Amino acid sequence: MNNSTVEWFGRIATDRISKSPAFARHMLADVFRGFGVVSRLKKGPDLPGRGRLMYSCNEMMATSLLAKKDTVLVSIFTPCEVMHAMDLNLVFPEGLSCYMTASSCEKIFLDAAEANGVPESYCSFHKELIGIAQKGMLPKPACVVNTTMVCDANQLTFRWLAEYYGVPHFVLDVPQHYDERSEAYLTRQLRDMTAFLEEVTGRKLEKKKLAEVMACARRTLENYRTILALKAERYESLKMTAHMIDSFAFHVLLGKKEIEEDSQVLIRDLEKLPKKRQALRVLWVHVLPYWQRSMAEIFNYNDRVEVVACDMTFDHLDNEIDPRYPYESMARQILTDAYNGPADRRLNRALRYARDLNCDGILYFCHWGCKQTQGASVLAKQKFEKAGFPTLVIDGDACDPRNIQDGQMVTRVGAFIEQLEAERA
Amino acid sequence: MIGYVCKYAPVELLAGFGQEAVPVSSEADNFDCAQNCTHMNMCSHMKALIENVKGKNLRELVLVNCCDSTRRAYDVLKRDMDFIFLMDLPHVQNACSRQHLEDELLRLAEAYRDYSGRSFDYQRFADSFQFEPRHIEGKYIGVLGARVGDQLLAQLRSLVPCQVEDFCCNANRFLDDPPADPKDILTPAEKELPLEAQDTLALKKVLSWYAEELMAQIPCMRMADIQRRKVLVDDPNLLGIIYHTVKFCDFYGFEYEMLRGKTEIPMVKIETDCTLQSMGQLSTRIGGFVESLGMRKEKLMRKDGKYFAGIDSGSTTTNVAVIDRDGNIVDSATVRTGAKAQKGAEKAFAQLKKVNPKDIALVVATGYGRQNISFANDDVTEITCHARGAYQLNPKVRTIIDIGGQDNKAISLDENGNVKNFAMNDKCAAGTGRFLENMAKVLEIDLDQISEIGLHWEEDLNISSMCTVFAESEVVSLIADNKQIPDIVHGLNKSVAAKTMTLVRRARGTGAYMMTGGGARNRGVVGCVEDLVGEPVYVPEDPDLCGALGAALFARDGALGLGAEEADLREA
Ligand code: SF4
Ligand code: SF4
Ligand code: SF4
Repeated sequence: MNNSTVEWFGRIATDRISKSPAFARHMLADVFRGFGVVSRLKKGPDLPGRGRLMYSCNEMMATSLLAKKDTVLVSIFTPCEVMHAMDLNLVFPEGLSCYMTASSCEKIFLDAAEANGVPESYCSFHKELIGIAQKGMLPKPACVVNTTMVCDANQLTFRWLAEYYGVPHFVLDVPQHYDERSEAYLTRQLRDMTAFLEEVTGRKLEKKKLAEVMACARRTLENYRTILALKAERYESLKMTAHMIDSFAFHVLLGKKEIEEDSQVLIRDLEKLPKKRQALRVLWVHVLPYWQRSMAEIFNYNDRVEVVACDMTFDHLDNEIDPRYPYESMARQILTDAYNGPADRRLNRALRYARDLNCDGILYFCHWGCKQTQGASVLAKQKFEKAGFPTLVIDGDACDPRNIQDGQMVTRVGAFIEQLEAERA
Repeated sequence: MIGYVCKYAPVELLAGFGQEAVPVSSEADNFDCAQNCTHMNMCSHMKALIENVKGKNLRELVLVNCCDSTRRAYDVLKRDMDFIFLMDLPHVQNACSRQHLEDELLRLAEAYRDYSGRSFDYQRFADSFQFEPRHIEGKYIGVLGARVGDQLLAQLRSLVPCQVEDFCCNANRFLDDPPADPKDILTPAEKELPLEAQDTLALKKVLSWYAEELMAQIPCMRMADIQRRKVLVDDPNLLGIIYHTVKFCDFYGFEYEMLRGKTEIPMVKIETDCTLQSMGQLSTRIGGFVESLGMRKEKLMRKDGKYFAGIDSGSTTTNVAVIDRDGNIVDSATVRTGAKAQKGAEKAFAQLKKVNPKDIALVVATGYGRQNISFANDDVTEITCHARGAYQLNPKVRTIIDIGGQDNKAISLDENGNVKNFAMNDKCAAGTGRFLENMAKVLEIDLDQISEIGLHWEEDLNISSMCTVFAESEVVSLIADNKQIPDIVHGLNKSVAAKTMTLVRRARGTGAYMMTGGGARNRGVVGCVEDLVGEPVYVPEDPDLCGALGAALFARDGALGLGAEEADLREA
């Protein structure tokens, strides 16, 4: 869809949402689905693998909107292999916020949340999500599961959602540092989580099935490592949305057969691209404002500058999953995640990939309300620049158009690109 | 000296090492250091911590993994400290999490031992448990929410004429006494073990007990299960709640909302940024709240004279209303306040045409400058005065929407005209008169024009930014897009109205509505508010005079020797 179509659609959807949420849910589900099918089948500017990944994510988002039995509401960093092995439906509301913003109907949700007292300074993904629930766009789940990892918003929103729907809530308390004791603590909780899910849904987890899912997750992450290695030597014409899709697909949907297949297709696509890095290469830290017209104009399908990767897609690649020990593996996976623990861990990881991916510079995006990212912005700039990467720290919002200064952002990003060009020359 | 901020910090463990832990809880003068080493949108409490650590040259610090802002404060502080430790605090409470906290306590103990070269002494540890159970007699006002700084607490105490108890996140620190001898904790069977084994086991069990004690405190909002927080509001002696939130902290805003829906106890919310507060808004909010609880102290004396005056000393204008014994307005004046409230009030008095100031029996002041007018006999907050004035003008009104120069308020009234609830905008100017004034400048039109021009719109434009600075750049780009001025003004009016409606909702306002203040003169804004509330809004003939009228009515009550509560002259 082009921009004016999106806005037109957004107006219609907003109108429907306020009149009949049930109808609007079905309408949006159909649109997400339809859009997914188109991106998979039609030949567009994106690689076929990208289209497939988009399709898989859209399918999931569409399902999120339709009330289904045995649905679990999870946060993005929740390990979902157990849920996949039990064939549970997942709703991953942060993604839903993204999709709603992409459909240009965020305002009604953001307003609803603020009117109900959600702090203005709250992360807009989560603010929107609360509004989505309040507007009746999120069907009641069977239960809520989240981790305490990454940010406070997880804690607050998911507790709020569990209370709002009056459903059981399970919290995975993630320790900050990685040692044997922490691993044991988290492993125990993950086992408890399985028991919790079994009790809530009445289904049984089959060990064999879990091992299969874990093996698939392992192969999928290996594929993703290959994808990044291929991208290190190539230019890919793509849009910012692709990185958000990657972070959804390789977290919440990790362990699903489709994603493994999609990633294989993407590998084959990338192998066909010439080994050439003509465009300027930017590593993006944190979420991307894919909805923002001016940013899309700069970064989408541009052979002058490319966002090579986003640090939300390689936070969890350092650990090897061992399917024989699923719980220990999941625990390690979380504990070694770049987003867990001190800021240095995340920054060092970004730096390593900036080198490996042959990047020219790093763009550090301070999303509105995201204290964990904002708080480390000065450290990031110092560290990255010391390592030789020109760095732009920029304030913006990946969800809520009301919190940005568009003109200033364009100027700053423009100047940054010019700086990178000058360095290359 | 080792600093700490959280009630879960293991202060006693450090005492066992002979180290005194001191709470770092004062406000900051500014955020100069914090601005240089982190982002301005970090929670103000942590920015104040950074200022305190740097300003006071604190060398040792124990933090608890409370929230994103604390974790990042740790990250930016850690390079320049002699000793800094971030203790992982579990979010859930069960046997496993207790074990995890015990592990963390051990990790801290080892780190501190290695750093300081000191060793742990049980006696010192045990002696440091000096908790006096909180003893409250009689009725009190509770301060809840995010921690308040020392000075803010002192200010609150000075503004409230009854006991104020601090129940903020870090103020409920209370632990039971430990065993006199660690071995008391051993079971008879364990006491059969060799002595050395007994010592080791006893210490481990004490640590485990200590972890449990720490977790057994009243949970703060950062814990997953917050059921036990109920005790904080479950007390018949609790007269009212001052709910404190910190700018850029998200935890406590959620609880405030939850409480608002659940408790009948009167509540007022204050948000601060952990700097030394300008007393202005704080004293209005707390003053208005105290008055709404019927706790106003009467200071008036009987005096002779025919007339009663109210002065509303606002940030932009000063209004005076003079009434007779029957509550009829007999004279009034409006002047610009200027730099000093006193001067403004004198000027306004000098402009009275019909009444000789000598015939005025009593003067009550209200508004920002109310405490700085020497010839006023008493002062009452603008919240209470607005309510009083509005009820006099139209007893059907249940919600007053006041759009002033710097402040917007929504006040909801009960059927007797008493304040039920109120909400004010935070520091930011979005949606206030100042906001429209700025935009008028950008559009190169004057304020009178702006109130007319917005009525003649054709294209329905939206100004999405709430922030004044952002909205300004939005307006600039709309001008650049050749949009029509009336359409832009209409967009601005809508955004002012929308912003105001969030206050109305917060105050739980219902119809009938009345608008006062300078904003009520703007017919475009009034129209947009009417669209949003879905009914006509009553605008008094002189919308700026409502607060002054209320003050004058209080002056009349005082002169007749009646307390604010009993005064039932309103119907007369
Ligand atoms: S943007 Fe930041 S605050 Fe928001 S969900 Fe992501 S990590 Fe949390
Ligand atoms: S919110 Fe809880 S963890 Fe955080 S400082 Fe307060 S008491 Fe400590
Ligand atoms: S005020 Fe809020 S954000 Fe700040 S340290 Fe306390 S809990 Fe964390």
